Amino acid sequence: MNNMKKILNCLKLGFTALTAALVLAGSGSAFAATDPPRLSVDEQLRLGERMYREGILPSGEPMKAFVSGDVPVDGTAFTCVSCHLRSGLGSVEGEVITPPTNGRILYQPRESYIKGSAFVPSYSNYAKYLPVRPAYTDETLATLIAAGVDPTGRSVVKVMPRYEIDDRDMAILIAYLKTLSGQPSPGVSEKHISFATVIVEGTDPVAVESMVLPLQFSVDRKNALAAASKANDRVARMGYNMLGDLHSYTFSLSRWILKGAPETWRAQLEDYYRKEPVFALLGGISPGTWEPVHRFCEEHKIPDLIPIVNEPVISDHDWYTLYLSRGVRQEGEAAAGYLKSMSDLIKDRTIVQITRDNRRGQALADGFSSTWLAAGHKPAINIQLPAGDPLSAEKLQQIVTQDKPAVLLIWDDASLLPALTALAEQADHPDMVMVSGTWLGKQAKNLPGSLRKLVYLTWPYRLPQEDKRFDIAARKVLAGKRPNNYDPIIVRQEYVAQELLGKALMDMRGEYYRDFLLDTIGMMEDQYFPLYERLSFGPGQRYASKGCFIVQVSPGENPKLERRSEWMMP
Amino acid sequence: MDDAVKPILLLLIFGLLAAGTVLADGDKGIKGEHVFIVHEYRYEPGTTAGDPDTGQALCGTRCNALSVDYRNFIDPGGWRFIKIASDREVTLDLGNPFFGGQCVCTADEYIVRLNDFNKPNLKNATDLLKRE
Amino acid sequence: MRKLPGGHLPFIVLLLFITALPASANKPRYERTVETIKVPDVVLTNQDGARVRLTSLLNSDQPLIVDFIYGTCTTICPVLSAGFSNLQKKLGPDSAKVHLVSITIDPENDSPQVMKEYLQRYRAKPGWDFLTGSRKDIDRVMTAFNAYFSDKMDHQPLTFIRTQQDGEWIRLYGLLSGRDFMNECKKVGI
Repeated sequence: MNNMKKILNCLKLGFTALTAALVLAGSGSAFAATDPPRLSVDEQLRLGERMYREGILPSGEPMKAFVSGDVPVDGTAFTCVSCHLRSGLGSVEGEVITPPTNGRILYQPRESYIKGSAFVPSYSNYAKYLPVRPAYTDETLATLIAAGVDPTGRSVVKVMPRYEIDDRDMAILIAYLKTLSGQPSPGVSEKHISFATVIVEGTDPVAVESMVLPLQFSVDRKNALAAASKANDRVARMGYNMLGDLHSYTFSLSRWILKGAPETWRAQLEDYYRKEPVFALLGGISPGTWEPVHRFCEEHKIPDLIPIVNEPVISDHDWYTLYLSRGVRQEGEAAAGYLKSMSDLIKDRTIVQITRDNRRGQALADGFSSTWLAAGHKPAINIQLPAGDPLSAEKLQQIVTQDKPAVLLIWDDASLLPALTALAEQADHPDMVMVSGTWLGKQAKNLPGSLRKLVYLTWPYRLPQEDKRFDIAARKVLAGKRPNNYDPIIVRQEYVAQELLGKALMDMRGEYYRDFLLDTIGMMEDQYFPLYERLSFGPGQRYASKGCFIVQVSPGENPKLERRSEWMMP
Repeated sequence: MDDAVKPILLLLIFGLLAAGTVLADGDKGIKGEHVFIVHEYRYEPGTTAGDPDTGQALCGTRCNALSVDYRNFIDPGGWRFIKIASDREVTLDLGNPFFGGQCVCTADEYIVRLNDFNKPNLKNATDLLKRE
Repeated sequence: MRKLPGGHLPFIVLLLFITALPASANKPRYERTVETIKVPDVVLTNQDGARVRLTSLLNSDQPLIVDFIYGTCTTICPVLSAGFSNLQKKLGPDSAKVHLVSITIDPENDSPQVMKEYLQRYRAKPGWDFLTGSRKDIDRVMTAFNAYFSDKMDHQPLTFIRTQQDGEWIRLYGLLSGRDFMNECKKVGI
């Protein structure tokens, strides 16, 4: 019986080796034929990275892959990075566990978790168990990629594509895999992770303190746990059960203050970074632009977790900065989204958009216009209000009489209310008025009675009466402090940021790599924290809150915000 | 104050307070915040002419706005989320300035209360009555 | 190029011998059931930003295949979508005759623009639509198809092929090979 098994195993190995050989030969070996020009190491790595992340061969052609055995698919649709993620450290999705594919791990054998057991336990349906396997070699790795067979003869083609790549391109890809998450990230040592937060000088001190408070709270708490673990065995055991090796790590948080004009920030950031190459930036705050910091992080590949800014950089391919939302712009987008649902009712009628001429107003107006125009509708009539000049009842009346809008948008602070109240009393007024709920601030809930049926507000947060239940969580970081000295929105935003960081660090199973930090966040489930109705994540998704409510103020004595839309995406 | 008037006055005040509590409790007299989770919606045009698909889409928005996300009540901890009705039809005005009609949202109704199961028993009878 | 001991001939013989053996997978490679599904009356949005009333869309006479995916999915959806892509290629000029409907389970991120890009990546031809909507409406559709996942990170590979007008659907759970998928389509006359 054993002999039979041995023979079958030999046959299996032989068969797979033959298949591999035929596949490799069939895909054309340029190696033997010509001597390609020598490429520099950097160039090779760049080409390898392009294969890994974009599915494009050095020749510029898409990689040819076969999935589920026999289904052909182009590498540009679906390639290594899709499942193994940017850090190469693998992913978990539903029932499928994708193991790491970086050289450091591939070239070590995977041994059974429990000695004597044949398998490493996991819960996946397809990769039923992460199999025990010997270390890969260049050859066995090439066989895996080209033929879908691992060094023990097991086939992986049910979930992993096999790629028809010639020898030279395979060598380039394998050389790249060897460097993936190979060297430890800067800012991480065996016992310590260093972080920094960027504060732009000139930001309102209350806002700065509100951002720093939860951040410092969580760093201090972590360090307290590390110190307590050192002093007390029981704390160490509890810490290890909760966090693994992370429990004994200390964190440091530096404050990088940026002074002067935004054009000078880059040099200051480079200087700070040279003196202290941190693992990641946490939080951060600016009264205006964040672009120079965002660019700095993109180029140095430093994660920046959740700067507290009204104007995030909007990009659909930048990688290193995670924002809580698209900023105030998102409210303008939501207004357009709401109107889009009734666009065939508004049809040829006019929309007038009155905007206060400052950064906040511009962001709201841009958000509205870009979404409205992208849907193919004719532009709104745009009217600017110069800074410092409150909207008067006469001016508003004049605009309405002249343009007769069906819908009026006013992007301004609470100083718009008197003029709007006067307008509402006229017989002739627009059918619908939309304003920014956050810009009205405290006045939002106390809208004059005559406006409540007419005015719709954008509200990018959970309704206050429902958010109250989450207060206890947020107040943790305010322990011992006077709440009135802090901005409640910013405190909650940074509280959320710290919760996310904590979850991510715990999920990273000791592999503290910058790309893996963002990959891990991309694998997180939807989160329900204070402030935002829902936060959602995904590979490459960099704006956690994607929705906004459209609300009205309820009539009567105890006004509340009431939803008129679901948590909608524009 | 007259001895005769005092008890009448007290009764009056008590009665008003009791009435107040009942009115504040919502239509079933059950204490707690009433919320809905909507399953289905349909548009009832009434006398409005117009595209029924538009009506259905707008009612989707309106009824989904009425619906809550149960995780907002469960995740923070310390609250009870109790179902009191299944498939109740709630009729709302579409409320759109450009389109008339009504929306009928079929929803399950819940009340939300503080989780006070472990609160000590109260000797005061009035308080016991208030808890149910 | 590998040097095989004893030359190639013995192994070619073995190759023929092994392929003649019965399929090594004794257990089924995917699960197949027949379901009756009541499609909820919700209004969704397709990759062109156009409004789609789901009951109208799914009540057509055309052969219909539905799956649940999302744009930034890493592992399962690319395999499902490659299957759709492959089917369309096999159908050739008749691709529009079979209606392929992918419904997102990540409506937060999958805007019409994201969905359009996704379809382009898979070289989708006319006949393949990708739908999004509000979170609650999408939840309703998933529930109706008995494909509800509380979070997209927990999703599973599910494909639904509709057989007749009265709402009978073949539910396929698993990642099917090209051949298996084609066979299932043939069974319902696609």
